[in-house]
Amino acid sequence: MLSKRELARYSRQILIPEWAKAGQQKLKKAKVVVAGAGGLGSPVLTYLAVAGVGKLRVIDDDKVELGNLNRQILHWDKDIGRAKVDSAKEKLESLNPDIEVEAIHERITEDNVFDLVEDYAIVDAVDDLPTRFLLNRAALRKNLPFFHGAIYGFEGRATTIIPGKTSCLRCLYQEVMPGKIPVVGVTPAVIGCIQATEVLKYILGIGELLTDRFLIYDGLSMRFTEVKLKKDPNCCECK
Amino acid sequence: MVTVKVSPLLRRYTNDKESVKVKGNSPMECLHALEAKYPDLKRLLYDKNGALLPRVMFFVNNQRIHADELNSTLKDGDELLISVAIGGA
Repeated sequence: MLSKRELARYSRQILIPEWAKAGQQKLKKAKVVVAGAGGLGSPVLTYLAVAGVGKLRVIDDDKVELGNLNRQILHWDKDIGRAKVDSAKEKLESLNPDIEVEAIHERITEDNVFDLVEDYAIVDAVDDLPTRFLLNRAALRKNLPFFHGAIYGFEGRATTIIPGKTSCLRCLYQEVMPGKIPVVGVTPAVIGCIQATEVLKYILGIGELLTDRFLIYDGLSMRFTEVKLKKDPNCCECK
Repeated sequence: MVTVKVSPLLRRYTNDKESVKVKGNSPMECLHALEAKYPDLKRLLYDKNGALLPRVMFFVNNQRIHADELNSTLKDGDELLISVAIGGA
């Protein structure tokens, strides 16, 4: 049941015919884990929170640094030195006190990934490939949807992985560009919003997901390119 | 001729050109043809032993191809997109 307050808070999105009150109820019951509370995680978490996703679990082992603040909009100057998950939880709960936000200040490892994702839809907002692969594996083994995003400078990519139906992250990547990643805040803002859009569509069961579709965003030319993905016959995770 | 498109990250090595027409019968031949025009590309795409780096991704006519298809046959008019995997967040 949606309270009067919830109906008022979400009144404008409830106007969307495919959404309606029934859709809002689905969001209220939904559980999403966002791995990473940084450049991608900030917009993803923000827009899932304000849309009314009932349970958000945010995982990050990092602390806020000054160099994060050009893009990690959930963290402010006053949060420097603080655990990112605590900073994120505070802002998300202020944005929407009607949802539940769980902060987990831990590094995702082989030993804990299955427990950490549990039965939540998974948003990949981490910046290292081994962790992305762990999350991919957890998604495959537990049959959980996996919403991938990645950025570099003005360029970003996104795709949605549905175990058993699409290729997986291991089919897509074996290695990524190394080193310190150049990034301007607007790029993870765009890609994070795309990831959040995919999550909402998945929960609501509407629209067309980026399944086996790889969206390539070029902010400099302001163009989106879409290419099709397919399983790698030699994939070590999902073949 | 095959139209080779490069992703934004690679354009700094192709004089900012987004697409170039080359002669080549396979994705690898087309890549070599592109490198002949823009040798600096090799710095990003190969390791010090000259092996193609796993981060390089190929798409033929907007469809991903994998390592076992890099010598597959391309036709006149085909499009090859070459990109590198990125992992920032």
